[in-house]
Amino acid sequence: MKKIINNKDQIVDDMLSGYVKANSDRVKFSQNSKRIILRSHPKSIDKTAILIGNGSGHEPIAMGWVGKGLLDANVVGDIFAAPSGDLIFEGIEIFKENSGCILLISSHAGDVMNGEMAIELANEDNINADLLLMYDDIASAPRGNEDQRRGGAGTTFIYKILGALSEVGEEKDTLLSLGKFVRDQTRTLSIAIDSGTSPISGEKIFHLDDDEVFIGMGVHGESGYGRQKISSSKNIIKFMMDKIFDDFNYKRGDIVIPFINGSGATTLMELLVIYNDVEEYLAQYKIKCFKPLVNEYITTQESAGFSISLLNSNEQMRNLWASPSSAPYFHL
Amino acid sequence: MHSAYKKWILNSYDKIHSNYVDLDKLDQLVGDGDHGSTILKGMKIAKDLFLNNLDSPIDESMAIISKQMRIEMGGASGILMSIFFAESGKIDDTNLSLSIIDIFEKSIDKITKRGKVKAGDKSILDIYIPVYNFLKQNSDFQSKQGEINKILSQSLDNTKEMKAKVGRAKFLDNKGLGFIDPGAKSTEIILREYFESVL
Repeated sequence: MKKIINNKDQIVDDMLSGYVKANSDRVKFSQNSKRIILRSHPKSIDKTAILIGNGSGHEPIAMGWVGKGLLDANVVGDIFAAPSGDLIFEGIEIFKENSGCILLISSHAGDVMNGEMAIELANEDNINADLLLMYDDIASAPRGNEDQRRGGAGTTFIYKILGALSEVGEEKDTLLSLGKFVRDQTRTLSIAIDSGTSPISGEKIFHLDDDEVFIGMGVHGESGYGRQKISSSKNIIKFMMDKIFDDFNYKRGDIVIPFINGSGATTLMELLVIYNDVEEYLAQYKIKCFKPLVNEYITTQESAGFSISLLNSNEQMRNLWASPSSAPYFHL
Repeated sequence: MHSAYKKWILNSYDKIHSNYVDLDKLDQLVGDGDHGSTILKGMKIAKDLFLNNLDSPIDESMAIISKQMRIEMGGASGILMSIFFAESGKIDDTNLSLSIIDIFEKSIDKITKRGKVKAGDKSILDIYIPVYNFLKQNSDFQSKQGEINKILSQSLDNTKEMKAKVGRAKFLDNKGLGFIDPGAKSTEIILREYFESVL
């Protein structure tokens, strides 16, 4: 394994320490845990707090999105492993005086179990906290079984839009219903080009031949639509966009927010070529793009690949998406 | 019961230590490749905490161990595999058989609810349930350790032919078919040591 680290067991702690030092004007550790990242300047307690618990190894998500207009806290697990329910609960407890608290969980088995446990502990303590389960990956379950899907890069729309709306003091129940609406209007499909190396085992996470790509692979190498020979961006984008269009009824005049996410080792050059083709595909159906996000945000180490996420938006979503944020790694 | 539990935890740690590389390799085929390392971390915590709490009542030590395993392991395996450790604290040497049956019953109930998992889904439950059924049907199970070991091996082998309905393997093309479940393997190791030590 060719990674610049110190001790394998200390990677996450070393990384978080570096992160907090590098962004000390905006983020800090919680008083009791160096696995909980908070804003340096918390929002007032009359507002609903938005938290996420997730495994690490996918940086800059989610620690990079703690900031004004986005997340209030990130509870960080080990590499590719959700944080325990106990630790997530500790994160929620920090906001027990707030008018409400929403725990965002991207749908993966360990994340869901630990998130549910944390919410049970919070409710036993009469903390006004709810879980919002996020899923968007169309390759993981067929149309009609959306609630069985994995969480992918499209969960970003929920983070940003709820983060922005909570900042202006909207009530928790309204935030939850908007979050579900954004989820229902989001579709994501990913493609793997080459595997990254797990820092724990030192081994590749999955195997692909040099001339192969894998459409629909999950962030940890889970499979989807299967292997194909690599071809041009236009061909690959047409295949992927056709799948997304089979899954959701877009119509002429829709305005979508596209998110082209690189999985760790995909160049910006490629991501922009991809975006160009996505925009052209949408234009032929007279669908417009609004403020796209194009970069590497939700990664799996040095994996090559990308995902296309589309949010079919309304005006409220677009305003919230475009509103400012101080999160160190969210740049529209 | 302290000395039996000490033997259980130390031997489980040793067995997991000799198997964790293979468990990681198995998990590379059906998961994200770190189950062995994760369970080794959990067993190391169990060992260290048990040795540090030798004077505490068993139920207190096991509650501490279970919570710390859950926190340090994280993920699905931390929350599900720590359940048996917490329940095992309710062992009662004056009523050994019934207390063991109760430990299994409560563990299965909690794993089912927390993991939203059932028999045949290719998970750790596919080890717990056949063992529990045998214990229930054989009031003299204390003298049938050989048969319990056979059930453990057979149950583990049976996970090979199951299609995963939970966890990351359910998203694989082959649903993990043809491979034993890594969580079931580590559970089999730990339960084998449990009966070796307690009976």
